[in-house]
Amino acid sequence: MSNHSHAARRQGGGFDLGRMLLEGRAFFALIAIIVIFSLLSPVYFSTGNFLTMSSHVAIFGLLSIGMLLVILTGGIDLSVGSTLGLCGVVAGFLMQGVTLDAFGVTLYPPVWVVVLLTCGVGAFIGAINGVLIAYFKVPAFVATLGLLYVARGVALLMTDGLTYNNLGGDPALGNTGFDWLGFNRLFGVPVGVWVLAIVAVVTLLALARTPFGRWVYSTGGNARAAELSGVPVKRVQVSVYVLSGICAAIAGLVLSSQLTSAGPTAGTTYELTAIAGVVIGGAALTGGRGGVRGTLLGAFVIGFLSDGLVIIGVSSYWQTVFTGAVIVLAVLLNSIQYGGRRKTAAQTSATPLLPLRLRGRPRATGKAQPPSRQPSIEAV
Amino acid sequence: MPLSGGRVLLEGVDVSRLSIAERIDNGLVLVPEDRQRDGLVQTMSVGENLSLASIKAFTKGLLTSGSRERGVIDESISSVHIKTDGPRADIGSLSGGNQQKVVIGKMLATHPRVVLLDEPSRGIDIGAKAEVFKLLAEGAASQGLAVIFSTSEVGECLSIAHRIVVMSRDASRPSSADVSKEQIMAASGESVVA
Repeated sequence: MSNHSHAARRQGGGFDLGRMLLEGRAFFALIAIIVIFSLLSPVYFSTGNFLTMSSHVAIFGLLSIGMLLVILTGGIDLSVGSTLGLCGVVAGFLMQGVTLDAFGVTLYPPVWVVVLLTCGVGAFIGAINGVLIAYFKVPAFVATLGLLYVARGVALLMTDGLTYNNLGGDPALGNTGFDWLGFNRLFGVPVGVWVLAIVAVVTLLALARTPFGRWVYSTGGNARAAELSGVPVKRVQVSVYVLSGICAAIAGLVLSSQLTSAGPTAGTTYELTAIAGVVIGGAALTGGRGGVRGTLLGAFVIGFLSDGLVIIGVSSYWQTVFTGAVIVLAVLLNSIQYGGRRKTAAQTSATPLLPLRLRGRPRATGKAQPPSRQPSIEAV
Repeated sequence: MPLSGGRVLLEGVDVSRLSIAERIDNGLVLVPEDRQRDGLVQTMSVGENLSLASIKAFTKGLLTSGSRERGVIDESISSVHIKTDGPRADIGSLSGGNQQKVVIGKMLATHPRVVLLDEPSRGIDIGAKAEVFKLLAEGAASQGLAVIFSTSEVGECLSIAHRIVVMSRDASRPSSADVSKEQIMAASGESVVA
């Protein structure tokens, strides 16, 4: 259960270099990226640079892990970039103090309250996504695209398009400490990276060792079969979007803390980077296959690649081209890895099943069935 | 399909308005007709498919127990005689008959009181068909399991059923097992040709 990438190895048996390269592709890609950029630039291979790049990766990694949960159930969440932006703005707004006109007071919530409320906003957006998709049968692509626009619009409305720059709080008001998330280091590692590590470990554990994890994989693998086996498919679907929204909110908090400002356009197109990280990590967009380790590697590949391109001075236009090429390559490799087995798992009875034992009946497909449904007594 | 009316009582509990998970808890399970579409999760291994309906049985607190799960899986593999390379094998590597046995084994692992099978012999070879019915008969005898199955092959129900209900055009006509093929065909409103 815990390791879906072993699925193919079970069949293969012997040691196979091509197979190994294919299954470990995200890992080897990351090694290749580090080696190539270290050769091209003297500053790339240094602890300082790795830590800086890792704090960039933390943002994509958090979004990617939320996205992974959604993609594992066979969905997609396009709203995470906007949710990140909106949550940053909400945090910025709360840090400025909330004026209640009715009472004539201004409340300055402490940072932990800001963090909780912001996560609540992310969860709320995720819940709207999830309910639309699970209960109102809106296609995930459409529902989350709608929320992408709504969340971005609300963020722009809240600030009138402006950016909150003062997130430091005031010791006199007792709401300092917001910078800690983005700036401080624990044991030399940026706090944002620790946050990613904690979220990743919790998700890894949840997927591998809890009923919820099993429900997520089975919902994405075959929702109908999962439901008939007692899996609460609709609740699982809502949960993954809520968790994705919370991950986006955490990413928004870390990002606005790193930038010491909260702008309404933060995180634009980050949803696509997050999807890219998940796909590079080997998850299937059709659901049911993928894991946290791969996704983390995918996020590091994207982050280390784009930062490397910046460091060696490649123009941002070329960076876009490179990133796009990597994503297409990743999807291509995914379809090679899963392609062979996808056919054996034919969802429609019209497709012939490959591993058929040709005994008794010539074919166990739908084509052989219609005659037997007739009340043909000659046959019996 | 929406519920049009009526109740289904299982040992005094109305199961018709329960969720599927609650029905399984109450001992009522379904083996669906189309195992590719409704029965198996193709992305999961043989073992994960077998344990999917009985996750509660090997969950302690928040976490699942790997060793207890293996117990559930091994028991299923041996009790319904699944021919497989092991619990970690791909579900697609099994023959149609063994895949069907996985679906049946998965539901039997929940220790049901009543098992509904919709066309259980569909798309599996004759040997596997006989084995599936033998397993169910054994289960019925040893665990007091009630087996309800639907079939469109008259010979099949004549050979194994204790009670036969012909459902046709909004009506159902129960009869004992010693009816003839012609009586069944007549009950279903079809004219007997042969």
